[in-house]
Amino acid sequence: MPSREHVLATVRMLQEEHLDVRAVTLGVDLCDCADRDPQRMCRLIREKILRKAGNLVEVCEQVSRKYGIPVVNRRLAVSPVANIAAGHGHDEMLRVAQALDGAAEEAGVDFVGGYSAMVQKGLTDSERTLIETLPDALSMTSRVCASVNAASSRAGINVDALLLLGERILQTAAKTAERDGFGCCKLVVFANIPEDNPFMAGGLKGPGEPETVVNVGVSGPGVVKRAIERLRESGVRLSLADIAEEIKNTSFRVTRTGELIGREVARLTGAEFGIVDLSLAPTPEVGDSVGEILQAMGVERIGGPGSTAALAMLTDAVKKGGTFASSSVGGLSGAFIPVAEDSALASAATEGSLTLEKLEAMTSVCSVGLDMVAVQGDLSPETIAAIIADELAIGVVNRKTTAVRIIPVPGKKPGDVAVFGGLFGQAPVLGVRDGASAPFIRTGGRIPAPLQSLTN
Amino acid sequence: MKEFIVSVMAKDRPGIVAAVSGAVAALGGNITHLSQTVLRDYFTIILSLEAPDSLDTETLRETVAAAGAPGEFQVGAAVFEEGGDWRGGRPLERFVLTARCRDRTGIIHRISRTLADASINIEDFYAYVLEGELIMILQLGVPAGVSVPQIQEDLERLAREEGISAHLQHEDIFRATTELQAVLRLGDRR
Repeated sequence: MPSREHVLATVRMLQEEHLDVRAVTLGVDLCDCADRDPQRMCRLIREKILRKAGNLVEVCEQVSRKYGIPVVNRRLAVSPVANIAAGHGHDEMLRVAQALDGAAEEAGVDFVGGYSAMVQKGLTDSERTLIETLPDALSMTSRVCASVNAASSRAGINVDALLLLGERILQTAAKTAERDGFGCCKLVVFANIPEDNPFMAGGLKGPGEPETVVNVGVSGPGVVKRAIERLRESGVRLSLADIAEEIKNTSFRVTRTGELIGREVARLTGAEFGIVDLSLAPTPEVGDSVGEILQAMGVERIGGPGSTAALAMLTDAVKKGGTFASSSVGGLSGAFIPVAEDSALASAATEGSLTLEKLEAMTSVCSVGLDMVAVQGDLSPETIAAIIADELAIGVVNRKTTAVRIIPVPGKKPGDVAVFGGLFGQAPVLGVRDGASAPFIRTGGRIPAPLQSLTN
Repeated sequence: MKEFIVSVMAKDRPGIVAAVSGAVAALGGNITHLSQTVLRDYFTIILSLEAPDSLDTETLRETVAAAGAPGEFQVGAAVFEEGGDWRGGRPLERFVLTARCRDRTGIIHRISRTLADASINIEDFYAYVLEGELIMILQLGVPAGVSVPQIQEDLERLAREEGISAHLQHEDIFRATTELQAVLRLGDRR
């Protein structure tokens, strides 16, 4: 039997520090559902999802109870819809979105990711159609999540796609204006998209993945924060290396929990086990915040000087502990700083210490990018595209994943508050100077892939 | 050769194991299994030994008792017998029950009664009182076929009635978070 101290420490992590499994995501390949007849295609999609994922919720509950670990979200990720529905037009693509929405509801999951396209080097007809359907798809469905990979370190940045996305993001916000542009919370634009990401809205089942695969996102901001606080309360004279060690140890435990749950869910659903995503994923709940970890580390004003260094140290320590814990680590595996979904970050943005520019700097050392950032609703499509281009450039040049989930909130100005509700939280609208780079973006084409040598 | 089981309880001090094992060796006995613990300065040991057929339990008990000061060791001795098959050949899964509540009479009885009624065996039990709170950690052997969700419900009901905080979890969650071997291999050692 594990030592009594370890048993009590694990129970404390579960009961008092919000240790949970944030997402168990079942990836289901839908390529065999492609069909020239849209009705038949939608039927095949529904049947396959229910056949493969029909017992996912029940299995997660069973495993959760056995180990005493909450599984907060059960989700589905499917093959990129632009590929499955290639050759179909606008209306048929939307029928696929609705079929996914219905199947997700029947399976009892809250989100299904994969309304997606890979356009880093260029757009196929079906990928262009999918992007054009985004405002309708995201406003007509409640569970469908969309993602577009618009850049990679090998291909560069597809600025034509970004301009198209800038327009569609504004239209999506307009179509969901009564919820402060909520539709945009379900769309992520990536550079170097991972094919095994369990977190929404950017999850999909990539082409290199097996028929069905379980990917797990662990949580743990609360556990890491408390571990650092306990270390500080112990009265021992600390160095930053001590804090890094504590984060590593905590990350080890959190990762092992995720792998244990993931492997058992995979076994019971008949899927392969894929990866554990180490990302520290906050929720709007107090005590479950990456911003609070930075505060526990000693960064009093998030966004102030020192924030980037602290975040870099946190992310690195999480990765070191996690990769030692498991050989099946993947996805995004960093620390998320989604402004609206993290109460401490949202407060820092309200107080003005956390600005869009500082956020961008911080995303160069963590995942996943400008996430859940609300901006004024009257920005031009070129400015939206330029904000995305800046963030994707960080990913492309540094050979890492970066992404943008931006919400131009209709009718709201900098300083107003956008409310998305539930896990999506609320955030102040950040101010952006409009129109500064429109000629650059409108020039169009592709920013070439960066040099892979001379890396200073 | 015969096999015996011996238990010794005494106020703790250095030299008890040396005295007990010396007495066993003098009788030609060979210790094969041993478990010792100290609780609030009281020492207990239980051990299993092989000894010549001529040895009887009374001689064994008296010789071990005489290894301490007069009246110091409380000794029990019995001829070893294979355990009864209470689990009916069913494999066991190991769970850990952790519980805490305000210390009062009868709590351990209520919990252990609930487990006993469900044919769950307590394999290891540690409890202590800290600042008026009773903290319990139990390792349980749950035979295949026993409904864990049902036991969890029973414990939750008991917890509500008695104001206990109780959690029944599969042992692997604790092993996964503390042991270094791969999660994939946790099942190999059971």
